[in-house]
Amino acid sequence: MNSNTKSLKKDIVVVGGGPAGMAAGLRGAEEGAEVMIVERDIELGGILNQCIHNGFGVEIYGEELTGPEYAERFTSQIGESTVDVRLNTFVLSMQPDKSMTLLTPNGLLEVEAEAVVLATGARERSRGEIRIPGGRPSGVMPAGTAQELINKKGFLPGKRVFVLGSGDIGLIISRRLTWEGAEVVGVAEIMDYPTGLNRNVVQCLHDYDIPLHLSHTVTDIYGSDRLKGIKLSRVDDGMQPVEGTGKDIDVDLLLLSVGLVPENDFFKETGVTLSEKTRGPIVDEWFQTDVPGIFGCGNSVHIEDLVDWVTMDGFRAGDGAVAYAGNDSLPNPEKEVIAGENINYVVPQKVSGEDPFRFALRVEEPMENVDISIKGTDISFFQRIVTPGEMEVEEVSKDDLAKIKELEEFEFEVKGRN
Amino acid sequence: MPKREYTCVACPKGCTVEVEFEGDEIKDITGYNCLKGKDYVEDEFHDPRRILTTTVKIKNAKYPRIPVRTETGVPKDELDCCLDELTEVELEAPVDIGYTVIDDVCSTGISVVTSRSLEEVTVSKLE
Repeated sequence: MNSNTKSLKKDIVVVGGGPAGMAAGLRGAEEGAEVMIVERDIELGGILNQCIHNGFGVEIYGEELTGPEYAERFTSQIGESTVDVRLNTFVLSMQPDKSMTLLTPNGLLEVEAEAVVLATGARERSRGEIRIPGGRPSGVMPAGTAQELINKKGFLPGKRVFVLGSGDIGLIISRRLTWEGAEVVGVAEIMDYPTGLNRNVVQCLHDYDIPLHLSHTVTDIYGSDRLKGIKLSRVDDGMQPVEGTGKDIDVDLLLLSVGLVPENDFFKETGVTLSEKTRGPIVDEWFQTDVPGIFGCGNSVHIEDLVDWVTMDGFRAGDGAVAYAGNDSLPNPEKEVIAGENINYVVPQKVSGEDPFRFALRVEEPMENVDISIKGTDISFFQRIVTPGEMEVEEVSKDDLAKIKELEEFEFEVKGRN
Repeated sequence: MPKREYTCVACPKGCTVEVEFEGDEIKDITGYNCLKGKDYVEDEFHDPRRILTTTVKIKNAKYPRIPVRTETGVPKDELDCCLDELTEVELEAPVDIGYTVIDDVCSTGISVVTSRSLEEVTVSKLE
């Protein structure tokens, strides 16, 4: 270690000061742990600060807050807590033994933690990941980047806009652009159904007569310096563009709202096993990974659809980290949780079977009147409608567990009622 | 009789609901599958409202914009008027969350408030 480098010890270091990290850090401090939150941005709150629309907090607070309002409920509590908040600070490297090097505004800092919560959120999938051919002009960006430019910087990145992807970010940014005086000429979705919430399709597109092109995608990008236009093509059942259906559209901004991927770099760096489905870590009911003392929560584990769930996961991971840091052993997660019929994935992927746990799952196909159940048991949860775009969250109670403790694995399945 | 089609937003199912009407009066509603859906479409027919969330200019803060919202839904037809009125506003940091930016936007009786606080940032910090 360089002699100028300072070093510190903490019970818990939380990486990321968004909703997941704030909840984990706050819970840790409430339970008496020495907690540090490391945030690379100039303030806490994460992506909530740019999500100025309302709809946050319905599950937790029973009201519809905007993103910044939701964030401030936590930042104000953290300000009054013992949490050591480090802004403008990057994690340069992280070891499996939970020691790390931080780059702070005042130089390098070595920190040794008993437990680490990686609340690093997610990244938007980029043009490279979906491989759209064509030129490389400016004016092609992820929808979230446009959201930041407009809502935080007061900068309108285009006047005639096309949006690829009908996820909620794409829908909400379409309305936002319209309100700021841009013309959104259309939204394309490669699937044959919109992937965002129905409410957003109606209130963000229908309200402003913005056309939604289902089973369509962008197959070419025109322009050298600045974007001049795109080619929109219909796709077949295999999601392949159909020859001869291409139509050129003049636009100066193309926004990509084509999904999020957990920010998993530090999980990889510390040797944590990742799930091929979620691309986040495999976790137990305390959000602990298979590297002892390293936890995840929120979008770094899997892409959630409500911030309320992110917060609840953060509290749970905070509880887990406190227990681990205090040498209270967490129960061994020896039962595997399996994604069975019509389920894309379930989180957590393993549980002890001793503690009640909340599970989150996404289905593979839209269905009506279904039971979400654990195979071979009478534990089931009725849902009128399930779609891949909406996460299902339920809780397995202590009573439920008592009935199924003999099972070696919990296989979840989603089946229609006849 | 004139007809209007709505997509219900009461749940993810998104029923297509058809309203037959004369003037301001609903004569028939068809296509809904639950009472929530019927209520939603009736409200949407008589008095469609939306929460407006946008930003206004702010001086001496770490960002040049501060997010604001209407406290309750404003009539959908007044959204453009509200946006125009808010273009004229410029605040100066420090500003608290919930600060009233306009107390009766476009004569709707509804106020617009800030949805975050922003502390004052001195010029040297901005550089």
